[in-house]
Amino acid sequence: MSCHELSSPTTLGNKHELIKVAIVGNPNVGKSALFNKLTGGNAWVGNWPGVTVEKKTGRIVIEGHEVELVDLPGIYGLTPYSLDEVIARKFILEERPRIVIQVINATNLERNLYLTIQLLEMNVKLIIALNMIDLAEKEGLEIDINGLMNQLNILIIPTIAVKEVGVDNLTKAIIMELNSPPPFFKINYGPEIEEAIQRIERILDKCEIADVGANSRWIAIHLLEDDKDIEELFRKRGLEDVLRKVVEIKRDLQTRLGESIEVLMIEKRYQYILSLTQKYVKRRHVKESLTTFTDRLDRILTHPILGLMIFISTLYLLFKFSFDVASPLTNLLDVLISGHVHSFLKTLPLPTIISSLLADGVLQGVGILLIFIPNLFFLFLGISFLEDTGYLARVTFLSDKWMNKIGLSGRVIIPLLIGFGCNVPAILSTRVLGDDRDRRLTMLIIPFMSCSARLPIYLLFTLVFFKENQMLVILSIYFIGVTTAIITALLFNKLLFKGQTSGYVMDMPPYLIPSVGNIFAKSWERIKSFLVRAGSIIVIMMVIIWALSIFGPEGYLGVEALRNPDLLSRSWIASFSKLIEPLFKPFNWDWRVISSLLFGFVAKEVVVSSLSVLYNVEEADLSTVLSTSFTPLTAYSLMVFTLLYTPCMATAATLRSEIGLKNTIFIIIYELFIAYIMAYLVLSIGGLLL
Amino acid sequence: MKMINYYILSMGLTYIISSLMFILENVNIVKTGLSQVTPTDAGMALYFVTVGTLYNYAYFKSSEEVFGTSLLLASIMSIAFMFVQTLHYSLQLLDLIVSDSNIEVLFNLMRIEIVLGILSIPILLKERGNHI
Ligand SMILES: Nc1nc2c(ncn2[C@@H]2O[C@H](COP(=O)(O)OP(=O)(O)O)[C@@H](O)[C@H]2O)c(=O)[nH]1
Repeated sequence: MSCHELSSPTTLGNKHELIKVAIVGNPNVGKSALFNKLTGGNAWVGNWPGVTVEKKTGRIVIEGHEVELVDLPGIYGLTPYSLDEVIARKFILEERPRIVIQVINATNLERNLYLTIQLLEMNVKLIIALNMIDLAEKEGLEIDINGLMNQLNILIIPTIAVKEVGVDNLTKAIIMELNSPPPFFKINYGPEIEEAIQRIERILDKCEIADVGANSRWIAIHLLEDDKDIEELFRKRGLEDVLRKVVEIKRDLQTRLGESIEVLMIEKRYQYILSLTQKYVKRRHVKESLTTFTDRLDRILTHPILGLMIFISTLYLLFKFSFDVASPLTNLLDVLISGHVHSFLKTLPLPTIISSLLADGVLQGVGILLIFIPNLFFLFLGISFLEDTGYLARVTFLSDKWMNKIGLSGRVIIPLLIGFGCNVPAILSTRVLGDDRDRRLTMLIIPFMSCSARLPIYLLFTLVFFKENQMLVILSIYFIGVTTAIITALLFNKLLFKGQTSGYVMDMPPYLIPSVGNIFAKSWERIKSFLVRAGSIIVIMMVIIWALSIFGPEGYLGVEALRNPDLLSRSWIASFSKLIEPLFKPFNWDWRVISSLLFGFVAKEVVVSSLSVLYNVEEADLSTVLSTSFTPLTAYSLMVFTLLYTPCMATAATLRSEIGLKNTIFIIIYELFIAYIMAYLVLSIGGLLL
Repeated sequence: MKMINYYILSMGLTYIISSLMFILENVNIVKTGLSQVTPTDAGMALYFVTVGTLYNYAYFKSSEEVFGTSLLLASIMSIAFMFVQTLHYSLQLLDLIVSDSNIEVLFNLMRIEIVLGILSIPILLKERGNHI
């Protein structure tokens, strides 16, 4: 045992030392709610190193001790099956938090205690937050907390996270626990396995492994269970001979037992848990328990037909809520920003270039950001609500079968559908996926979901060229987007992301009435991280685009260039468009179209308005001009191109903050490439047919 | 008990008939001109069909235990829609301050989904008492 664990009284007296406390628990036990209550909402959100799984930390001061709380991913056990479990275990082993708090769902002790046992076997100082005791009570469960505490020799604090009940006791427990020695805990695995454990322990005692972060019994148990991570660790240190001896012991044991060692050990743990719950949990009879209520609702909500209808309806309402309800607010912001504040900045006694930089560059960037806020906030509010009621888990269940066919898990359906509204929240909502591989793949295909900002472009072109079948043509564009997404998913599954989506346990939490505070807190947290992470990039990009429009190869053109097509045609943007014009020769698009597409990177809605500036006509007269410079076929290929060509700036900024610059650039290039190919295909196949 | 059953049935039928009217209008069979009582788009029509189905399902299975669950869901969905629409139309009044959009938006607060949502409140209260 390392001296760290045997914390001496002198280190305790030192109040300036930062005390690390980890919070673990199964998914959906109320871990985030409790974490928020403990930290008072002051958390710092980042990613775990090297992966896109979210890491939350918060600092609080308890009785003069500075405590750092780290929220670990939701996990079922400490066997490294999934990325989340690897992260959590690594943290406990390597960072050695002084105390681990496990949040337990009191209505489902059996399943939650498995993690408890694994934590106790690691000899960590454990405090249990027995959460959701209000629900346990409703279900008629009577838990003998004192009995359980004495048997396991750890502190158990009953809590109701959403009502902040028990949170004070929990912080007191942290301080109390600092002084106590780490618990001693041992499950008896039966004479044969115990003997093998002891034999391995004796071998381990002879090698230098004190820094692994766990006791030798724990390492021995995990070696018996074929723990790949631990084996890898031994190999790295050149301890192959130990592994060979372990294999011998295992083979010996296997022949004596005649059964899989791992399965037997898991069974023993469950037997132990069962003995605990039989002794300390009593069930009273109640009118209708939460479980039967949940079962009944599930019969309708996961019904193949009715369930699907309810799902589509819910989605419709979600979009209505986030777009319709937000639109008056968005309009208001728009009028304020591009009207009042814009003209105010223009009237300031500043050199024109400075006032234009502020008004047309910075303000425009800030405006794009702000105009997103009402939409995003309402969307997040809706999603958090559905998530907290437990409904999203059912949607996942409904779609799992279909999504598995393209190598993704059912949970991916939510971000993808949100993508039809706006790609930015879609990318942010991939955070709930947890699984790194699913997240990356989903982010890659989200931009193919045609967001609502692309609709004005389709509307304009279909109105001019496909007046008869407008609806049908637009639908076909959406269809092309979805098909491209599916093909991309299949392709990358084969090439880059080998292996299956992490087999997660389909957890069906009981239906709950969500707490308003929790929902607002969650939504606000998501908005905040969008503003912080994507905000500065959007503003900077906007300023760059602004500069490229008012400067040209001849030098400064004057801020009038933004509204004057002759000047604009001499800007860098126009020059660049003319430079790459030959690339688009097959499509017959001239530089003005290409420039608008470049502006479209700022925000897709801008394409239409910049076309009208460049053609020097009112937006209303644009259709006449377009009908002379496009054919239905080139118009259609342009629509396909705008559908696929690149995520807009806000999306790109969000992507960058989530998966880094390199991956974002890769996605942009890949999508440009696909867009070009698809537009070309449309042109040549169409040319053959027509 | 009887009364309540008729209430449920008529709620369900109203939803379904309203969306049928939407379909009829859109394939140009009849022009009812009753835009206050028909859905405004296809998504809303589907929503109406779903809620209507849940209400009717509850009515026809009134002897089984699925009855209450179906009713609970139907009333929650009705009220959710009412909530969203009311919020939407009220916020639209904000626009009046900055633009010259029509004061007639106020009439939208008497649209069918809002009325039906309000009529669903007693059902939710009753079912909530039974379940939770
Ligand atoms: N009734 C009740 N609900 C709770 C309690 N703690 C959390 N919840 C709810 O349980 C759901 C899941 O909580 P969350 O914190 O997101 O769980 P996590 O997945 O473990 O982070 C949310 O709807 C919470 O409002 C509790 O003590 N009592």
